Amino acid sequence: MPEPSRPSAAVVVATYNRPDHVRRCLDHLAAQTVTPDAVIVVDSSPGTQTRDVVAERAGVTYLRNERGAGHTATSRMIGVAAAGDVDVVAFVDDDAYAEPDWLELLLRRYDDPTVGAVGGRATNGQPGEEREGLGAIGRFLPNGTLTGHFAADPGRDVEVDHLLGANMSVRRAAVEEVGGLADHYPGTCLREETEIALRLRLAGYRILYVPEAVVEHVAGPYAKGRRFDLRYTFYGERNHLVLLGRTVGVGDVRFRRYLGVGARTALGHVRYAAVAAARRPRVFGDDSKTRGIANGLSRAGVCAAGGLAGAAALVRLGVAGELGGAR
Amino acid sequence: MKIGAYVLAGDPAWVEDSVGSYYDLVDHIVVAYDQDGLSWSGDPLPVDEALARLRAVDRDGKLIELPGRFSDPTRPALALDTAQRQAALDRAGVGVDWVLQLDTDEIVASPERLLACLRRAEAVGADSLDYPLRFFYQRSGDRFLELSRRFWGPRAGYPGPVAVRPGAHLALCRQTRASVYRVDFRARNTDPWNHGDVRVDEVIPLEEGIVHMSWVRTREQMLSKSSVSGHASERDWPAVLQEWDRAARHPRLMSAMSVFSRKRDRHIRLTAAPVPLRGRDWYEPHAEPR
Repeated sequence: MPEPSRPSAAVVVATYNRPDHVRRCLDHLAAQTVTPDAVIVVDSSPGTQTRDVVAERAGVTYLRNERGAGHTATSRMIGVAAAGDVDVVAFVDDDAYAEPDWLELLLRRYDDPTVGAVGGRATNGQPGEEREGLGAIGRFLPNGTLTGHFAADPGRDVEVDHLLGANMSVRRAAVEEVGGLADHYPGTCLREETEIALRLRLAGYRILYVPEAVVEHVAGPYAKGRRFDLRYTFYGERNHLVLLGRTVGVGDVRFRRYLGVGARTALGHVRYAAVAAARRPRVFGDDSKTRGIANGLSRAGVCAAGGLAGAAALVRLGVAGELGGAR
Repeated sequence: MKIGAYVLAGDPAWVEDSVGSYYDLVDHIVVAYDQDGLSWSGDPLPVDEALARLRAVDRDGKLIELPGRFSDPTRPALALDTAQRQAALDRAGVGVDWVLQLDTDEIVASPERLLACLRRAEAVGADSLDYPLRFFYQRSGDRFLELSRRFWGPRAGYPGPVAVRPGAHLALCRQTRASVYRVDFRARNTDPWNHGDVRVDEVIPLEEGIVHMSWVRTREQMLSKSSVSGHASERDWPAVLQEWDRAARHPRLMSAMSVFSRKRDRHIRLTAAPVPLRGRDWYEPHAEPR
């Protein structure tokens, strides 16, 4: 029986050095209740293992991202360009395993022409995560910060301002209308997927979070351990400033408010160090005081460095005429 | 979107201004009252006057009266307050998407903004709406004294969500544990009882906040409030009334000196009338403080 009319769709999997995860991810895509018009794996790994995994699969396209690690947005761009003239491009992480009806549920929402992007839940296996952050899923707040909570299950579709790259889709024509994807988010790639969603929102498109459209998000090998490390903090600050500059623009009140948020965060780390410095060691040889001071000061320093790196990136983008807001 | 509301009848002071400010937004208003005319703690309450004045503003027949027994001197007033509100909320939630929970001394300054926030709360999947109240403390001539931040900045109050979903469970008075969409006057929280970094979902101008006329009353009404309020036992009322009287006599001094107060609910600023008021007889000639 022919499939009922639905938008044409390509699924893009951006990957780096996770061949086993890619294999399982593709297994799940092969089991979808609607068959995507294309499945494209964009690989930035140095080796050939992922290429070999994809070669086992008929109908899956393998492409290279020669920029290597830290350029997930470039992988997405390569995937979108290769997807051709489809209506919708869906993205799923290599360590995210889609439920069989995932794509079908996402595509159903595109009947509404005001919808520019649709995403779903990414479960992490944490107890109670389905209730965490209800009412605050995927929000861009007036102080320039973002909320996540993409494992929450509100029980119905809700409107959001941005989505999680592990489980999102975009209307291709809308993405072209707002200028396409861009890659200005190096390092941990934090915020790279947020930019396109915010630009779609600013252009007036609605973005839907569909809790029924689920992927199981397992942490890949290099994402394990303490994610909120100094590197994460640095790129978090840097990339967030770039995100705001690229979307709302540096003249926007939310950009200015975020500078205050960043300054308070850095001062909070300094305060932490000061409290540690004033603390008496509980027992002889207790080095918690030293660790507390070092921890607070290093985080404050990394916050400030991230902010400065973000400012430098914004200057470069400004010179190139690639900032948002005033465009 | 269909909206219901409930009120508790017993405080007639601002009832026309309050109910009239959102009357056109709602499909029905449940009026819960103690059928014996008593407060939660057993004191006489002007229920009949409140009901008469509510009926007078009900031009489209939206009122649903819900009598009950909500007075019991042996039980905590706040528990009875919660029970009365829960009964009213359960009835008001029939056939609507949201229920407004406003007291009869709270005036909606911008029904359009309140409705827009409610729609946004609905769209983002929240089950309650925290919308900021401006707390008015006293009147002096044509000026009002309003609670503020230490240096006269805007201050929001949140006695509980202004709107909740039908079926919501009230934990204490108007408060619930439902997911919330939070509106404030600034992008950084202005409620001194909350942490500065509490999430703010939307910022509105100060003029669009709900006007809470709680203490803008005659002295007689304040004396009555001191005996029937759910918080009556928490205050030293003679001292409170003395300070309240002084504020009417020396508003500028009170406002200027309030920056030195260490109590976060003692910072005050002078402001103009927050909304056009209907100006009831009792209200115009302010009772001369003794």
